[in-house]
Amino acid sequence: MNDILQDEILTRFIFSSKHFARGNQTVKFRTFIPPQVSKDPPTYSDSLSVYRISTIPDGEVWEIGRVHVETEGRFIKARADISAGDVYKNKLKVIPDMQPHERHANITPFPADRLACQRIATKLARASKLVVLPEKI
Amino acid sequence: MNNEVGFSHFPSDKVQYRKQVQRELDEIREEIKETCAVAKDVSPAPESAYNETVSLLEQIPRDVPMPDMMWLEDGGIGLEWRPGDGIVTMSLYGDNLVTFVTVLDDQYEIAGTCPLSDTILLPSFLATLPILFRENPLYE
Repeated sequence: MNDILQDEILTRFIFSSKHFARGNQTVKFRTFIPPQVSKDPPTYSDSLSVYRISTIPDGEVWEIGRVHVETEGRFIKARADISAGDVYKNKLKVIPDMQPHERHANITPFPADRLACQRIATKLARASKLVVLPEKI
Repeated sequence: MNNEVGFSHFPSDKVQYRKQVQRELDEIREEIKETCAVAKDVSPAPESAYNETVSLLEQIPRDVPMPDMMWLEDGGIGLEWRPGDGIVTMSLYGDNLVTFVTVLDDQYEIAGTCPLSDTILLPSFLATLPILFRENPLYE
């Protein structure tokens, strides 16, 4: 599970209904902003957590999210699927790290400043596909 | 009134528009409060970010649809439009700065940060919005 090909699909889980739109089936740019590491000046982590989901059934994808991503009181509502190729177009890499699950990886290196992060997050949101959590899995 | 692509048109009546913005911001405020109660890595947006959002939206040309509004986990308010295949995003954190990005395809991109009080860059950017929506009638 090391070489990540262009057509491999990665996913990022979404917790808030404000971060996607069912109407036009879009993922909001916030989904692809890495965690903030410092508030003043605002700087961001250089990596964004994703899971590699090609070749596994949809139910298993949601199960990975439920077990490894959800935290107490925060529940997954949807996910953003994106091809590795769309990530590579932004001069980013996808590095498998196998923790906390063998399909976990990080998109990196994100720039540290707010404008640069928002630029990349906007492009990744545009390239991604919304998948809403089905009512019954 | 929601259209088929999921966001609301700019209400013609200014009072109605302000009410709609306030309703969206109240929802965001409530969701941040609920999330902060269970998550340590979320920063609440300062009150100034809400005020800046209202102020910015008052400057949006009337023929531009209402954006999708969202909270940002690092303490900001985000706005997003989807004209056709393109995307326009803006973010406000209560520090009197606005960050904006437009991506229409792999070649065309505008991005910048400026003070909310900027009299050249911000009005020029906002003036591009009606053009984007005129060129994508699906979203009118």
